[in-house]
Amino acid sequence: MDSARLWGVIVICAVATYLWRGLGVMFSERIRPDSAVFAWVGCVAYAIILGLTTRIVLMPSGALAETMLSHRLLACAVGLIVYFASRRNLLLGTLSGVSAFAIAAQIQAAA
Amino acid sequence: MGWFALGARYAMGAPAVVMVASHIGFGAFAQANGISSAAAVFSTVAIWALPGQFVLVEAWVLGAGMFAIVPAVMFTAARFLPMSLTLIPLMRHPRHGKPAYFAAAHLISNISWAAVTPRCDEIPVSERLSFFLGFSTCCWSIAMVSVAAGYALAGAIPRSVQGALLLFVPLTYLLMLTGEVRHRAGRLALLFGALAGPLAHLLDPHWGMLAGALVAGTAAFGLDRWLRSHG
Repeated sequence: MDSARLWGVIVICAVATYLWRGLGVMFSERIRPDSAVFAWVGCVAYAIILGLTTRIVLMPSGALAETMLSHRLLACAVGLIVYFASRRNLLLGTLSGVSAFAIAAQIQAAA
Repeated sequence: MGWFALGARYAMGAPAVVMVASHIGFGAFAQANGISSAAAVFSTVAIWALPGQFVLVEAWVLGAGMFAIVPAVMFTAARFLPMSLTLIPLMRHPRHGKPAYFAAAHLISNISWAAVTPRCDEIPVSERLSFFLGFSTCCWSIAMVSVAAGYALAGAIPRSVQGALLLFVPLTYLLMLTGEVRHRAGRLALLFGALAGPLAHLLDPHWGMLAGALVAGTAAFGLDRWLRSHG
Protein backbone atom coordinates (compact mmCIF):
# COMPACT_ATOMS: atom_id res chain seq x y z
CA MET A 1 0.00 0.00 0.00
CA ASP A 2 2.79 2.31 0.95
CA SER A 3 4.47 3.10 -2.30
CA ALA A 4 6.77 5.61 -3.87
CA ARG A 5 3.56 7.27 -5.03
CA LEU A 6 2.56 8.16 -1.44
CA TRP A 7 5.96 9.74 -0.82
CA GLY A 8 5.52 11.67 -4.05
CA VAL A 9 2.11 12.93 -2.93
CA ILE A 10 3.60 14.01 0.42
CA VAL A 11 6.35 15.98 -1.35
CA ILE A 12 3.86 17.73 -3.64
CA CYS A 13 1.56 18.52 -0.70
CA ALA A 14 4.56 19.92 1.15
CA VAL A 15 5.34 22.22 -1.77
CA ALA A 16 1.67 23.27 -2.00
CA THR A 17 1.62 24.05 1.74
CA TYR A 18 4.91 25.94 1.63
CA LEU A 19 3.62 28.06 -1.25
CA TRP A 20 1.39 30.02 1.18
CA ARG A 21 4.23 30.53 3.62
CA GLY A 22 6.64 31.59 0.88
CA LEU A 23 4.09 33.94 -0.69
CA GLY A 24 3.67 35.52 2.73
CA VAL A 25 7.42 36.20 2.88
CA MET A 26 7.40 37.71 -0.62
CA PHE A 27 4.42 39.99 0.00
CA SER A 28 5.68 40.93 3.46
CA GLU A 29 8.60 42.80 1.92
CA ARG A 30 6.15 45.51 1.00
CA ILE A 31 4.32 45.65 4.33
CA ARG A 32 5.49 47.77 7.23
CA PRO A 33 4.53 46.52 10.71
CA ASP A 34 3.04 49.91 11.55
CA SER A 35 0.75 50.01 8.50
CA ALA A 36 -3.02 49.55 8.40
CA VAL A 37 -2.78 46.55 6.04
CA PHE A 38 -0.53 44.81 8.55
CA ALA A 39 -3.00 45.42 11.38
CA TRP A 40 -5.88 44.17 9.25
CA VAL A 41 -4.13 40.93 8.15
CA GLY A 42 -3.17 40.35 11.79
CA CYS A 43 -6.82 40.63 12.81
CA VAL A 44 -7.79 38.07 10.16
CA ALA A 45 -5.09 35.67 11.40
CA TYR A 46 -6.25 35.97 15.02
CA ALA A 47 -9.83 35.37 13.88
CA ILE A 48 -8.76 32.23 11.97
CA ILE A 49 -7.04 30.65 14.97
CA LEU A 50 -9.73 31.40 17.54
CA GLY A 51 -12.47 30.48 15.07
CA LEU A 52 -10.77 27.12 14.55
CA THR A 53 -10.46 26.76 18.33
CA THR A 54 -14.13 27.34 19.14
CA ARG A 55 -15.13 25.15 16.19
CA ILE A 56 -13.10 22.24 17.64
CA VAL A 57 -14.73 22.72 21.07
CA LEU A 58 -18.31 23.09 19.79
CA MET A 59 -18.22 20.84 16.70
CA PRO A 60 -15.32 18.43 17.05
CA SER A 61 -14.47 15.50 14.80
CA GLY A 62 -12.69 12.20 15.53
CA ALA A 63 -12.28 10.92 19.10
CA LEU A 64 -13.23 14.30 20.58
CA ALA A 65 -16.66 14.06 18.92
CA GLU A 66 -17.45 11.12 21.22
CA THR A 67 -17.14 13.33 24.32
CA MET A 68 -19.81 15.57 25.85
CA LEU A 69 -20.12 19.24 25.00
CA SER A 70 -20.72 20.16 28.66
CA HIS A 71 -17.43 18.46 29.62
CA ARG A 72 -15.52 20.29 26.91
CA LEU A 73 -16.99 23.62 28.00
CA LEU A 74 -16.15 22.80 31.62
CA ALA A 75 -12.54 22.18 30.55
CA CYS A 76 -12.41 25.61 28.86
CA ALA A 77 -13.90 27.36 31.91
CA VAL A 78 -11.58 25.64 34.41
CA GLY A 79 -8.60 26.16 32.13
CA LEU A 80 -9.28 29.89 31.77
CA ILE A 81 -9.89 30.39 35.50
CA VAL A 82 -6.72 28.54 36.58
CA TYR A 83 -4.68 30.23 33.84
CA PHE A 84 -5.62 33.76 34.91
CA ALA A 85 -5.59 32.94 38.64
CA SER A 86 -2.04 31.57 38.28
CA ARG A 87 -0.90 34.77 36.57
CA ARG A 88 -1.05 33.17 33.12
CA ASN A 89 0.68 29.86 33.71
CA LEU A 90 -0.17 28.15 30.40
CA LEU A 91 0.89 24.64 31.38
CA LEU A 92 -1.03 24.75 34.67
CA GLY A 93 -4.08 26.13 32.86
CA THR A 94 -4.22 23.51 30.11
CA LEU A 95 -3.46 20.63 32.48
CA SER A 96 -6.21 21.79 34.88
CA GLY A 97 -8.70 22.08 32.02
CA VAL A 98 -7.97 18.59 30.69
CA SER A 99 -8.00 17.16 34.26
CA ALA A 100 -11.44 18.70 34.91
CA PHE A 101 -12.60 17.16 31.65
CA ALA A 102 -11.23 13.72 32.57
CA ILE A 103 -12.79 13.81 36.05
CA ALA A 104 -16.18 14.86 34.65
CA ALA A 105 -16.00 12.05 32.07
CA GLN A 106 -15.14 9.52 34.80
CA ILE A 107 -18.04 10.63 37.00
CA GLN A 108 -20.36 10.45 33.99
CA ALA A 109 -19.15 6.93 33.13
CA ALA A 110 -19.59 5.74 36.73
CA ALA A 111 -23.10 7.18 37.10
CA MET B 1 21.00 32.43 27.79
CA GLY B 2 20.77 33.27 24.07
CA TRP B 3 17.47 34.03 22.37
CA PHE B 4 17.44 30.74 20.47
CA ALA B 5 17.65 28.90 23.80
CA LEU B 6 15.01 31.19 25.33
CA GLY B 7 12.68 30.33 22.46
CA ALA B 8 13.34 26.62 22.97
CA ARG B 9 12.73 26.99 26.69
CA TYR B 10 9.42 28.75 26.03
CA ALA B 11 8.44 25.76 23.85
CA MET B 12 9.26 23.28 26.61
CA GLY B 13 6.04 23.91 28.53
CA ALA B 14 2.46 23.91 27.30
CA PRO B 15 3.51 24.08 23.61
CA ALA B 16 5.48 20.84 24.02
CA VAL B 17 2.49 19.19 25.71
CA VAL B 18 0.16 20.19 22.89
CA MET B 19 2.71 18.99 20.29
CA VAL B 20 2.99 15.59 21.98
CA ALA B 21 -0.78 15.24 22.42
CA SER B 22 -1.75 16.17 18.89
CA HIS B 23 1.06 14.33 17.09
CA ILE B 24 0.56 11.13 19.07
CA GLY B 25 -2.98 11.36 17.71
CA PHE B 26 -1.70 11.75 14.17
CA GLY B 27 0.73 8.83 14.52
CA ALA B 28 -2.06 6.59 15.79
CA PHE B 29 -4.30 7.76 12.95
CA ALA B 30 -1.64 6.97 10.35
CA GLN B 31 -1.11 3.51 11.82
CA ALA B 32 -4.84 2.79 11.80
CA ASN B 33 -4.95 3.76 8.14
CA GLY B 34 -2.04 1.60 7.01
CA ILE B 35 0.45 4.38 6.25
CA SER B 36 4.06 3.51 7.15
CA SER B 37 5.63 5.11 10.20
CA ALA B 38 8.39 6.62 8.06
CA ALA B 39 5.90 8.27 5.70
CA ALA B 40 3.91 9.65 8.66
CA VAL B 41 7.02 11.19 10.24
CA PHE B 42 8.16 12.46 6.85
CA SER B 43 4.85 14.28 6.40
CA THR B 44 5.50 16.12 9.68
CA VAL B 45 8.99 17.07 8.51
CA ALA B 46 7.95 18.18 5.04
CA ILE B 47 4.40 19.51 5.42
CA TRP B 48 4.42 20.62 9.09
CA ALA B 49 0.71 21.41 9.15
CA LEU B 50 -1.38 18.86 11.02
CA PRO B 51 -4.84 19.55 9.52
CA GLY B 52 -3.38 19.09 6.03
CA GLN B 53 -1.63 15.88 7.06
CA PHE B 54 -4.90 14.43 8.39
CA VAL B 55 -6.60 15.33 5.11
CA LEU B 56 -3.77 13.74 3.13
CA VAL B 57 -3.94 10.41 5.00
CA GLU B 58 -7.73 10.34 4.86
CA ALA B 59 -7.85 11.03 1.13
CA TRP B 60 -4.97 8.67 0.32
CA VAL B 61 -6.67 5.76 2.10
CA LEU B 62 -9.89 6.45 0.21
CA GLY B 63 -7.88 6.05 -2.96
CA ALA B 64 -8.15 9.68 -4.03
CA GLY B 65 -5.86 10.78 -6.82
CA MET B 66 -3.17 13.41 -6.73
CA PHE B 67 -5.50 15.98 -8.31
CA ALA B 68 -8.01 15.57 -5.49
CA ILE B 69 -5.51 15.35 -2.61
CA VAL B 70 -3.21 18.26 -3.39
CA PRO B 71 -5.89 21.00 -3.69
CA ALA B 72 -7.60 19.72 -0.52
CA VAL B 73 -4.34 19.90 1.46
CA MET B 74 -3.41 23.23 -0.08
CA PHE B 75 -6.78 24.62 0.88
CA THR B 76 -6.31 23.79 4.57
CA ALA B 77 -2.96 25.61 4.50
CA ALA B 78 -4.31 28.96 3.27
CA ARG B 79 -4.13 30.31 6.84
CA PHE B 80 -0.34 30.41 6.51
CA LEU B 81 -0.52 33.36 4.12
CA PRO B 82 -1.81 35.88 6.70
CA MET B 83 0.36 34.27 9.39
CA SER B 84 3.58 34.54 7.41
CA LEU B 85 2.59 37.99 6.15
CA THR B 86 2.33 39.29 9.71
CA LEU B 87 5.07 37.37 11.51
CA ILE B 88 7.94 37.76 9.02
CA PRO B 89 7.94 41.61 9.06
CA LEU B 90 8.22 41.55 12.86
CA MET B 91 11.40 39.46 12.57
CA ARG B 92 13.08 41.49 9.81
CA HIS B 93 16.48 42.91 10.69
CA PRO B 94 19.42 43.95 8.44
CA ARG B 95 21.64 41.30 9.97
CA HIS B 96 19.54 38.45 8.51
CA GLY B 97 19.83 37.46 4.86
CA LYS B 98 16.81 36.95 2.64
CA PRO B 99 17.12 33.11 2.59
CA ALA B 100 16.75 33.10 6.38
CA TYR B 101 13.16 34.35 6.09
CA PHE B 102 12.26 31.77 3.47
CA ALA B 103 13.72 29.02 5.64
CA ALA B 104 11.95 30.32 8.75
CA ALA B 105 8.65 30.45 6.84
CA HIS B 106 8.56 26.65 6.63
CA LEU B 107 8.41 26.53 10.42
CA ILE B 108 5.41 28.86 10.68
CA SER B 109 2.54 26.85 12.12
CA ASN B 110 -0.46 27.58 14.32
CA ILE B 111 1.58 27.03 17.47
CA SER B 112 4.64 29.06 16.49
CA TRP B 113 2.54 31.93 15.14
CA ALA B 114 0.22 32.05 18.15
CA ALA B 115 3.10 31.77 20.62
CA VAL B 116 5.65 34.11 19.04
CA THR B 117 3.56 36.90 17.44
CA PRO B 118 2.13 38.37 20.68
CA ARG B 119 5.57 38.05 22.36
CA CYS B 120 7.50 40.04 19.77
CA ASP B 121 7.05 43.31 21.67
CA GLU B 122 9.17 41.92 24.51
CA ILE B 123 12.01 40.71 22.25
CA PRO B 124 14.68 42.95 20.62
CA VAL B 125 14.03 43.14 16.85
CA SER B 126 17.42 41.63 15.99
CA GLU B 127 16.73 38.59 18.21
CA ARG B 128 13.16 37.75 17.22
CA LEU B 129 14.21 35.38 14.44
CA SER B 130 16.49 33.46 16.83
CA PHE B 131 13.70 33.20 19.40
CA PHE B 132 11.28 32.00 16.71
CA LEU B 133 13.75 29.41 15.38
CA GLY B 134 14.49 28.11 18.87
CA PHE B 135 10.81 27.82 19.62
CA SER B 136 9.84 26.26 16.29
CA THR B 137 12.65 23.74 15.88
CA CYS B 138 11.92 22.55 19.41
CA CYS B 139 8.21 22.04 18.62
CA TRP B 140 9.06 20.47 15.26
CA SER B 141 11.47 17.91 16.76
CA ILE B 142 9.06 17.00 19.54
CA ALA B 143 6.34 16.54 16.93
CA MET B 144 8.47 14.14 14.84
CA VAL B 145 9.24 11.95 17.83
CA SER B 146 5.60 12.07 18.93
CA VAL B 147 4.31 10.88 15.55
CA ALA B 148 6.64 7.86 15.75
CA ALA B 149 5.57 7.24 19.37
CA GLY B 150 1.89 7.54 18.54
CA TYR B 151 2.39 5.11 15.68
CA ALA B 152 4.08 2.58 17.96
CA LEU B 153 1.50 3.01 20.74
CA ALA B 154 -1.55 2.94 18.45
CA GLY B 155 -4.13 0.52 19.74
CA ALA B 156 -2.81 0.83 23.28
CA ILE B 157 -4.41 4.26 23.71
CA PRO B 158 -8.10 4.05 24.70
CA ARG B 159 -10.53 6.15 22.70
CA SER B 160 -11.41 8.28 25.75
CA VAL B 161 -7.75 9.14 26.32
CA GLN B 162 -7.40 10.07 22.64
CA GLY B 163 -10.31 12.48 23.12
CA ALA B 164 -8.69 14.05 26.19
CA LEU B 165 -5.37 14.42 24.32
CA LEU B 166 -7.11 16.19 21.46
CA LEU B 167 -8.63 18.64 23.94
CA PHE B 168 -5.17 20.10 24.59
CA VAL B 169 -5.27 21.67 21.13
CA PRO B 170 -8.20 24.12 21.53
CA LEU B 171 -7.38 24.73 25.22
CA THR B 172 -3.82 25.83 24.47
CA TYR B 173 -4.89 28.34 21.82
CA LEU B 174 -7.79 29.62 23.90
CA LEU B 175 -5.59 30.39 26.92
CA MET B 176 -2.49 31.48 25.03
CA LEU B 177 -4.33 34.00 22.87
CA THR B 178 -6.73 35.42 25.45
CA GLY B 179 -3.80 35.85 27.81
CA GLU B 180 -1.12 37.17 25.48
CA VAL B 181 -3.01 39.40 23.05
CA ARG B 182 -3.39 42.77 24.76
CA HIS B 183 -4.15 45.31 22.02
CA ARG B 184 -7.79 46.17 21.34
CA ALA B 185 -7.88 45.24 17.64
CA GLY B 186 -6.42 41.81 18.42
CA ARG B 187 -8.87 41.19 21.26
CA LEU B 188 -11.83 42.18 19.10
CA ALA B 189 -10.53 39.86 16.34
CA LEU B 190 -10.34 36.97 18.85
CA LEU B 191 -13.88 37.64 20.06
CA PHE B 192 -15.40 37.99 16.59
CA GLY B 193 -13.37 35.07 15.29
CA ALA B 194 -14.54 32.84 18.14
CA LEU B 195 -18.16 33.58 17.21
CA ALA B 196 -17.65 33.45 13.44
CA GLY B 197 -15.71 30.16 13.35
CA PRO B 198 -18.50 27.77 14.35
CA LEU B 199 -21.20 29.77 12.52
CA ALA B 200 -19.25 29.86 9.29
CA HIS B 201 -18.44 26.17 9.62
CA LEU B 202 -22.19 25.42 9.78
CA LEU B 203 -22.76 27.39 6.59
CA ASP B 204 -19.91 25.79 4.66
CA PRO B 205 -17.35 23.37 6.14
CA HIS B 206 -14.82 24.13 3.38
CA TRP B 207 -14.76 27.84 2.64
CA GLY B 208 -16.70 28.93 5.72
CA MET B 209 -13.68 28.95 8.00
CA LEU B 210 -11.69 31.39 5.86
CA ALA B 211 -14.64 33.52 4.82
CA GLY B 212 -15.83 33.79 8.43
CA ALA B 213 -12.38 34.80 9.63
CA LEU B 214 -12.09 37.36 6.86
CA VAL B 215 -15.41 38.92 7.91
CA ALA B 216 -14.60 38.72 11.64
CA GLY B 217 -11.06 40.08 11.25
CA THR B 218 -12.23 42.92 9.01
CA ALA B 219 -15.04 43.82 11.45
CA ALA B 220 -12.56 43.86 14.36
CA PHE B 221 -10.13 46.00 12.40
CA GLY B 222 -12.90 48.39 11.33
CA LEU B 223 -14.38 48.70 14.83
CA ASP B 224 -10.95 49.37 16.31
CA ARG B 225 -10.32 52.14 13.76
CA TRP B 226 -13.76 53.59 14.38
CA LEU B 227 -13.27 53.57 18.17
CA ARG B 228 -9.90 55.21 17.68
CA SER B 229 -11.37 58.14 15.78
CA HIS B 230 -14.53 58.44 17.90
CA GLY B 231 -13.34 57.27 21.31
